[in-house]
Amino acid sequence: MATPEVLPDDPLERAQLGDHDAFAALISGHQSIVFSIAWNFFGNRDRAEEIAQEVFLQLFRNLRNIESRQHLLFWLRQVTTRKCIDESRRKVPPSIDIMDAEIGVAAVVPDPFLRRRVRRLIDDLPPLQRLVLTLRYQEDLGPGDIGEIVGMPLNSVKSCLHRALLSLRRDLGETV
Amino acid sequence: MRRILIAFLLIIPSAAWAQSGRIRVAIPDSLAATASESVDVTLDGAMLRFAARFLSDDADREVQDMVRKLDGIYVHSYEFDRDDAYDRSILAGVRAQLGPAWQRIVTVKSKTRENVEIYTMPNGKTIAGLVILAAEPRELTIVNIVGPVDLDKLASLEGQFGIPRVMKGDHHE
Amino acid sequence: MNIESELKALLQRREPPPGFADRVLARLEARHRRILPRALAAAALVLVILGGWGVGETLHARNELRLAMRITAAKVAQAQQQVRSVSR
Repeated sequence: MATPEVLPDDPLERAQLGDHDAFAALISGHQSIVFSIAWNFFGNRDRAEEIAQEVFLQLFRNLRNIESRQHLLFWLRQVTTRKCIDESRRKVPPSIDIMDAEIGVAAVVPDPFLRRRVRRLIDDLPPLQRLVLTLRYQEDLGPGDIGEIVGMPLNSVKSCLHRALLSLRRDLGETV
Repeated sequence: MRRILIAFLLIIPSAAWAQSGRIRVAIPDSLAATASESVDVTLDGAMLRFAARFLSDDADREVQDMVRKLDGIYVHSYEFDRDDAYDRSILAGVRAQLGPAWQRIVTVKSKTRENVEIYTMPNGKTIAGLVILAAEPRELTIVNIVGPVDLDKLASLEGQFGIPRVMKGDHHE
Repeated sequence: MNIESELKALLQRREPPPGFADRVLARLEARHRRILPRALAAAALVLVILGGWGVGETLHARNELRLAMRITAAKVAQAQQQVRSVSR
């Protein structure tokens, strides 16, 4: 592909023209989204990094199909969730090493044991409920957007989210 | 007797190398063949100076300043599709060359992350050589740098490669 | 207890270990390097010795150097980060 004399400002366009530096900037700008979806799904840093690396390697191969920054965001979320689901079907999920699990940083941690308990309950949820919960609370997406990413009708997403929250509330209600 | 002599003659070059900050890394051909990803970089002398001349981006200037003072950069890095696909004796072979002139300054052992050892060869107030051994179940990396290396400056370069400074403010929606 | 705020705090975004972008690029460049014929590397050395070189050879040598420094910096930074996290 011929490189124009003046490179565009947008890193996405520059990356599509073969600029590795611009692609590195895209990685840096979006790595926390991809890594976090995988981390919140698997609860394991190494698996999350493995998935995240695969996502960006796949992005590099598919750059020319990305139409806009909004499309890029959608693509990254969708591919990451699909890889998480595929991976979970291939392997038996490992038990979470609680010493390795980061419990999440907040300015105020009212009850670290409760937070740990919630983390374990999330990890015990069925994969799809865990993913829908992550997309809702990590990415702050509405059910419609979540449905487009995971390929589910709107009502199914709402139902899935409702079941996940109900399950968590019920299990927490037993101990709190 | 001949075997002892041959072994002695083989040890001498390695010993002489290690004194200069350079180590010998014996990687079997079969290892590179089984790796899913492999990196083997050997840059020294004229080749190193040649390569450094063509670092021209802003992010490369710090690398250029550092590389200008070096005599050699040797990096061997392999990734595998399964755990424990490499022989740990490769690392033992490197450690055996790191005699009293070398100091181990970092040892990181982790059940879930990389095991890393960093060795330096002090030379007055600077260092004459650096060796990094990084081992994970599916990745092996051995780095040898000959010449004065500033470790803090080296670590600060991380994350800057290929990332234009103007893009530091770029953020996701 | 507000479960929604707990979930937001627990499921917030987090950064991967330092050097993530470098590791992705190193894998990309390793794949590209396998495609280059060994003859090109040998030719680059011969041209250096003879005192003449072309664009392909200079880019190859420069990219080799960048790749080596990228991997080295990532390993040192990761060791530093692990030492710091244990010291806390």
